[in-house]
Amino acid sequence: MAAYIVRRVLWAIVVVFVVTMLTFFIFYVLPPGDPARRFAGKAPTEETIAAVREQFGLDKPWYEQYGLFVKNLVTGDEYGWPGLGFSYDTRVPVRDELLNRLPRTLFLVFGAAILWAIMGITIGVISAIRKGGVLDRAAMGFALFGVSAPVFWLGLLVLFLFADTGGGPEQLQVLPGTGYVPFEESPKEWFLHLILPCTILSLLYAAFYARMTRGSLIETMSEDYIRTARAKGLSERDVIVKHGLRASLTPVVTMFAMDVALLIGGAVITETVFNWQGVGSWVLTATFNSNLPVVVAVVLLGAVFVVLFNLLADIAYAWLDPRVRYQ
Amino acid sequence: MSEAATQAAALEPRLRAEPLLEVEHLTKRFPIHRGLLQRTAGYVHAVEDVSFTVGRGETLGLVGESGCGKSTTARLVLKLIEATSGTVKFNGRDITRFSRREMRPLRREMQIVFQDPYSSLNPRQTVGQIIGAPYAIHKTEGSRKRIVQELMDRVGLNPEHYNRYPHEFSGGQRQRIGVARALALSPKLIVCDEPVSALDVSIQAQILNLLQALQRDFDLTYLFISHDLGVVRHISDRIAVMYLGRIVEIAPADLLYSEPRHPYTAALLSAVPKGRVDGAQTGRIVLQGDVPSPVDPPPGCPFHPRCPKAHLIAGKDAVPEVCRTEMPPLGRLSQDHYAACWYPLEPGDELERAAHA
Amino acid sequence: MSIPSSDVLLEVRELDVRFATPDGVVHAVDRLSFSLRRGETLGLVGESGSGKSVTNLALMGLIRGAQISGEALFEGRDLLSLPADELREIRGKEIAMIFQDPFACLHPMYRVGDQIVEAIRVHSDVSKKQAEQRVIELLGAVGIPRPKERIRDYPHQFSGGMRQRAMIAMALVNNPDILIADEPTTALDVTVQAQILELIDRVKTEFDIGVILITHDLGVVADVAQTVMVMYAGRGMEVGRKDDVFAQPLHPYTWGLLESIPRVDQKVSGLRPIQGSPPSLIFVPPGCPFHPRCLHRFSPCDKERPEFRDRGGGHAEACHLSADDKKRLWAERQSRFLEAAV
Repeated sequence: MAAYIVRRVLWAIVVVFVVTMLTFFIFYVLPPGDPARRFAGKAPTEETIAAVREQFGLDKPWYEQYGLFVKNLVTGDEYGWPGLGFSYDTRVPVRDELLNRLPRTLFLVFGAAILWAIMGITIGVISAIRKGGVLDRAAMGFALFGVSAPVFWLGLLVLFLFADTGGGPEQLQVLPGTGYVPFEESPKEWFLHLILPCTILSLLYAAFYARMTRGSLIETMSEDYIRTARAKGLSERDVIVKHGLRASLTPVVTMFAMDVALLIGGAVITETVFNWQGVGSWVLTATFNSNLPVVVAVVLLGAVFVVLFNLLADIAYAWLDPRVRYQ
Repeated sequence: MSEAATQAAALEPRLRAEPLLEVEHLTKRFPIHRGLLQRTAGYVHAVEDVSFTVGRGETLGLVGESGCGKSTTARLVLKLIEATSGTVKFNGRDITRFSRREMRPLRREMQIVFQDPYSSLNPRQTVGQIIGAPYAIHKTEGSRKRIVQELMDRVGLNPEHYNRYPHEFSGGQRQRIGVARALALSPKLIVCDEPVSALDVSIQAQILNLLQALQRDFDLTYLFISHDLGVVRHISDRIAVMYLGRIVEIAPADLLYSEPRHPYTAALLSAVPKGRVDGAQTGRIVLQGDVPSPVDPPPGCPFHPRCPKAHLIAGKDAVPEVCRTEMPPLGRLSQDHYAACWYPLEPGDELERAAHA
Repeated sequence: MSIPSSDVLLEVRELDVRFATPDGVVHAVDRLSFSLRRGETLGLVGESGSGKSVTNLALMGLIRGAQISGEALFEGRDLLSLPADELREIRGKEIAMIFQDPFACLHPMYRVGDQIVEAIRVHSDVSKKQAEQRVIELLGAVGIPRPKERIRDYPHQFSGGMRQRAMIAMALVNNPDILIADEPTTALDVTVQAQILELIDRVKTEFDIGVILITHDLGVVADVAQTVMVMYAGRGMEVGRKDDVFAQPLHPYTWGLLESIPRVDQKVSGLRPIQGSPPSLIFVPPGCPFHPRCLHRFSPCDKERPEFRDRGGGHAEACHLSADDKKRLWAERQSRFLEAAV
């Protein structure tokens, strides 16, 4: 197992390096025109452009630029670590903005992830056990709803109904409205403000996971080793939980890692509806405004998260399924 | 006789037939990757120095247990995988190094029938399409449908079922479809890879009879692979016994079963449940342990760790020096009978047998 | 049909199993009766669709969604009418079962030792350590070398033969009275097969149990069983002591089976396959289910169901032909069949 993990970690590091190269290439080298002008924001003055050229070393040969790029990332630039430069549009160092927004997105995504994992797997298991019954059909109906209902519609709907700023019946208005409240300010408010967006974000995924768990478990339950478990005299509950579930969770784990990683930069709609000021809405705005330093930063961030979570998924998979360790 | 001469003699074709297939020193090794950097840590010796010939119109049975290399050999012969070394000659031509393009016209002459009638047929194609597919690849004249229906009739299927799908047929019928497909282009050689193993006993017999009838009518040559000794005896003219990637004995079928010379062959035959109820129950020859893995096999004869004859000669748990250190060549024991053993079985050898309850 | 005996472990009477499917009712087992004595190996022989596996799964309560009727008396209780948890207590303890493909039958993600320990601790309250000790003992007894190390291995690290031995150990771990082996050697190599059959036989004697051996291979049955029952379309066709059945088979289906199997020890000129294929269990032919494929059918065969008739010494069959006719026909078939034998 240890050799497996070490191999995977080494490989992950290699991948991250390749990602930095590709990112650099796409944003710095490939596009035509003056890169300094591109990085200098909306309406740059000549001095700003010169400053940018100086800061990013854009008059140097490309390999030196790349070296500088990587060095900044690893050791930080004049604004701190990681060295992501300065956003000339919003006039703040990119890293400051990032460190402000990242926790919000992380809480949102992880909160939703926990919710959808629990909901999805539980519903999936019940569905699989009661295959064809009323509970199964209801669960799959819920899944269909969750997959089809647009997130922004759901978001606006629950805000309307449950938020104290909404227009719905007074009795239901128990939750606060949009916006994020930092934990340091008020743990209670922080938590309350998290409830709605996390739930909405998790609904879609819970639906997927319910279907997937159901399918995976149904397939597993027809395996021969399940029959052996029953032949040993195990209770049906033990057969399902100890023997069935473990074997059916492996595809779920893999998907889970990818889904969570992709949401770091991708929970755009939820963040917008709930005025969350997280990473997703940040990069959306930046893209429309051609605010390159921000875009580059988020691309790198997203890639790092994907690699990291894939690594965790691989390790979890190997822990679940010992056959994988010997590859 | 010198080793080279013995080997050359082993390649002698049968008296009446010219060789259709000649295989010499065929070897296939699969590398194993291990460790942090996935370096090649060793090899699986799937097929090791295999030589045999199959005459026109003959059936050569290839028999052995799992890991012996019989299926790999079949695929090497058909060039479905590339050999590590050795040669394959088909109809006198050396096809070992033929490219895909060069092989294409030859493929109509060598076909295969697979083991599993359930997974070897495309479930989305009709029977007519499956059997007729070869005609699309190798252009033929005449109405394709008519030819296919004639073929279906030949193998015992109802030609009116031309448009049915595989799942509408039983296992035995699906295997007939597989046979028809193999026959479509009038091949010279058909490799049968465990064609009846997945079928019920009563259906097995039907398919075996069909294969024999077709061989007579179409002058087919079979390379018949199976682990079932009864089936192989029934259909083969000669049989080659394989162990750990090597041929340990080749002989005409009846001779192999009545006078096996290699200790492994004898053990294999004695292990088959024969159901003698006349009281003549001979005990099973005892073999220790499981079939070993073909990864980095021991030096000397691959069978020596389990060989009952070796123990007979050298005493319990001991093995003669030569068996342990040198690989026995496939030596000629009599006309057509070859065995790779330093101490082939002689009449009167009392091998250790299990007491039979 | 009961054999008067002192030590009958299991007595099955009129077992009937039906499944409702969208295409109709599948009559998998049709009023089957047999018994098993201690120290005996009963060979249940049949091809696919004969009902041999379903019979035993029904006895163990491992079939879902089926209509089961009849009686299966074990230690004074009827297995078929026991409540689910009582049956569960018997399963894996007094009656144990091993299956065909040992690779698929062990959970790939748990250690072999842990899986066997689980079999113990489901039925008794022993500590993990004690259970492990017993597992090591048994693994050694079934011929697995270095059991102390091997219990920590995963199934994919065991070879086919060893996996089946481990399955046998798992079945024996609670000292059952009956061992049901469903095609235990079909997926194994011939030399390993011989070892496993020998092991099952030894186990039967040492543990003094009854064994039901399900197989399609008449050769296996002839080597290892004392009693044989030939099944077809969910019914028993012929039953009796192995020596009787093989020396003087009394049912055309048995004849067909014997003639269609290529023999290792004899060269026969041609195999005589049984015409046609096994019937659908939804539309079982009326009367005798074998009649469409039987070379000797005559007028009652497609109308009346033949009942079991005892021919003496526990040898019974279900066929309308008279005993004398059968002896004569079999003799005729034998001489024709072996005409060209070497």
